[in-house]
Amino acid sequence: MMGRLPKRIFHLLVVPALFLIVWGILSIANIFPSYLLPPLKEVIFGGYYLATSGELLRHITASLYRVVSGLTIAIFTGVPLGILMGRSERISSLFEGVLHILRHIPPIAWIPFALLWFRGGLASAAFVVSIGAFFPILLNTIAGVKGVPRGLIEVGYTLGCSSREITTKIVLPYSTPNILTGIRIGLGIGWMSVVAAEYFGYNFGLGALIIFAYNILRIDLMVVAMITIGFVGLIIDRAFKWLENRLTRWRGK
Amino acid sequence: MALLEINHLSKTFVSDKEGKIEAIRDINLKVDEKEFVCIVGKSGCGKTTLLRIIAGLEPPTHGEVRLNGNTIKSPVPEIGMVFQDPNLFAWRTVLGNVTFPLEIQGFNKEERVKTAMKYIQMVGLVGFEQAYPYELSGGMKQRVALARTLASDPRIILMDEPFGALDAQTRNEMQLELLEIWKKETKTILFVTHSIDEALFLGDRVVVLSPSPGKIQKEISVKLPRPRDRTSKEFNDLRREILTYLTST
Ligand SMILES: Nc1ncnc2c1ncn2[C@@H]1O[C@H](COP(=O)(O)OP(=O)(O)O)[C@@H](O)[C@H]1O
Ligand SMILES: [Mg+2]
Repeated sequence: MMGRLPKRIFHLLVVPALFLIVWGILSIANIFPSYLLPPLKEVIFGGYYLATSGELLRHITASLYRVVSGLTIAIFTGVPLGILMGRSERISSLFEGVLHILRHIPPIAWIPFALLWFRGGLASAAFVVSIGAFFPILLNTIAGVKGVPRGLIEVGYTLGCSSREITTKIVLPYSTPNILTGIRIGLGIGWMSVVAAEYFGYNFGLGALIIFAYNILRIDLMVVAMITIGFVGLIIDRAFKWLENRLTRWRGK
Repeated sequence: MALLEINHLSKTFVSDKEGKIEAIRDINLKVDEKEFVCIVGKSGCGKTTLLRIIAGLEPPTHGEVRLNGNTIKSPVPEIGMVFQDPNLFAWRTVLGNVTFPLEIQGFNKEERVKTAMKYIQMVGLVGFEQAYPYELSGGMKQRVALARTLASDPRIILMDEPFGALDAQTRNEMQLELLEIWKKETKTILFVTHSIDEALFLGDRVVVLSPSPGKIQKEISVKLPRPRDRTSKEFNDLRREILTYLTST
């Protein structure tokens, strides 16, 4: 007798509910020491405390701020370079080699350098995020630009476009779906990178919270931070996906 | 002096895979202001290549194209082109597509919309200004492409089998509309097609290309009054004549 939507919600909740039940039972049975598996009750209380005191929100906004800063850097470097590389074989071959090596160095490997170069603070974390977000943005932009049909560019020239107008009025808008996908993937990677970046030298941020909780052996707060990272990641991904769909409605369906 | 002069135009493509392909050879053609010239030929006989060279999108191997005496080396505003594929800007509405060339030419918004609406009306798309290309049928897309080219206000419009992908009925409608527009706008049109019927229905002159490589086989003046009756004897006599030129080599 259930409608389609309630049924779907029910399906989505089955596994998490079972998980919580098993966790609750294990906590009550007291099989594992609490530093290996924090009791469910403690995590709920810890979460309640962090949420109501406003502390959790402060950690979230600190992390988000760094991600948005890093993402902005990645967009303003990745998109232009992607357009140049997508439009010109020569520029592409010039940068390709080094970029394909750099691409495989994970953002977290840059953390020590980020701290040395930028001495902690917003700049260091944003730098690490920007490294993580840069490559998906770059690669998706290149793919989008390379996919512009030759016919569209030729139409542009016959309608009087300069080479620059071809780029800004044809290549760039044609590639927006790819660029937005790149940004969304970059956002996801950035969100993961910021946690690691916050492990050293930060008082706020979800990564800082994890390390802080670990240092004072509040495993419950560690778990709260982790769950929060998961949820916030989900929400920003969905929100961006929604924005992406809105901005590319012209593609139809 | 003719508006457009094509002198000894030849094009040979060199590709790694297939080696040399001679697409067209020694094409000579003069087109006067306000003329409607049709070029008819089988597929692969170099029609697209010829138009692309005239549009300045492809350099010739030999010969030259002159517009008012000036050699064409790259696209110029006086020559517009409607391609086989409508090549619409999918991210722009119908109105946005038609205002595009006006935007490039630096008109202000009010003028852009006013001019664009004139051409949207001319191609019969009033009511669809805010539609996106994905919402349009093939015929409507090609109408937008035509309106967009008209909005750029070229003196010569090159048309590369623009109605080739349309069903027969839509195609006939579009031919009539094109003649109307041609009369109203006093443009010079160079229209390429593989359909003898279409060439005879539209052109003041029909140029027959023979294949591999494309050469001018014959030029025929069509003196029949418009709108032409496709079932008339004169029409069919011409059709038969062109067919013999098309099949002979
Ligand atoms: N860019 C190109 N590179 C190599 N060969 C080409 C190219 N463009 C056209 N051709 C060849 O030139 C010939 C004429 O092609 P085209 O002008 O497209 O003919 P049509 O438009 O009459 O069908 C064909 O054999 C085609 O394969
Ligand atoms: Mg062709």
